[in-house]
Amino acid sequence: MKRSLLQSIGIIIISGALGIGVHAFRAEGIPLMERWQEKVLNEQLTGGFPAVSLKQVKEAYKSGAALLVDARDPEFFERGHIPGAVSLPVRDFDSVFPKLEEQLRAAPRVITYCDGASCEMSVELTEKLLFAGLEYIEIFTGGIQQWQGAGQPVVAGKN
Amino acid sequence: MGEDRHTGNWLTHPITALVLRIVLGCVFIYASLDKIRHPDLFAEAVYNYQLLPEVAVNLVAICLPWVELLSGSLLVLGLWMQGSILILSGLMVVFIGALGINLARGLDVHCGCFITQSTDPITILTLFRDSLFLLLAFYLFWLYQIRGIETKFSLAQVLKR
Repeated sequence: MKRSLLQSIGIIIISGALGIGVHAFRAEGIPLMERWQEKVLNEQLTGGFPAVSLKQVKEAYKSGAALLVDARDPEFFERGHIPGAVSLPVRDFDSVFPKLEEQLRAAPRVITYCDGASCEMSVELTEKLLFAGLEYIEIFTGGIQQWQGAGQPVVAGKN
Repeated sequence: MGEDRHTGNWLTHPITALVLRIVLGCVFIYASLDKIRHPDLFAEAVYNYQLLPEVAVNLVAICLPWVELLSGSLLVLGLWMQGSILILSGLMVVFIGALGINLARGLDVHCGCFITQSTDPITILTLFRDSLFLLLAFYLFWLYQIRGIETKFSLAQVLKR
């Protein structure tokens, strides 16, 4: 029995090392630890679309790994938006989308946002983008309110 | 320790043991592949069981499929068999426990046992199927651990020569 236990421990250690090792090199991996309750609540807010947290948006913003898309009306975007974000108002989707289509399709990841948890424009925009054939779209449910509340920079101006 | 002593009993026949060993090993190898390919979906299935603290969900979803893959492969190859049988028996006990608890709770969760994207809910049939695998694991445990039989159909024996 001692031999079995030692072998079992060996198998578990090797498997754990393999799992974490392989996972570290995967582009589409998941974090080793995650706040699942928060994630599920966010997904409920986004109608089932994948949600991203403020921390993930900050990382994407710093690395430039994602294109942030502001779903609010243009006047709100002009007053203040996340640096690097582009304006694609849900209300004007049909007229603005063709101008941004190439940029959106080239982005490895797209994150939509609007005011905050109470606004539904980012969800509507995500639906429209998916319908237009885009993939890898996530929603930052905290929106500009959470971004500003966390002391992150905001810039004014047009696209 | 005996070595493939066949006393006319089909239950202890080396071929029976070999076939059942390969069946159980392949079941676990197959079960691990989709989970390794889709850790995000498997993590969601693990979370939905509502049995682990949320900090452990992703770690389990990342490592557990590798435990299944390695144990299943070692069992098929006949290396570290006693250890892999012990793990697979333990895993089956845990899986059946988790399925049973959620059946009793009446939670509408998906098994996530083989295909992570499956939407089939847990039923009493899932429990029955897993009980058969547990029986298989216990049989191998009895054969190789309690009876201490060493099979010649194993990589360990080939390496000894």
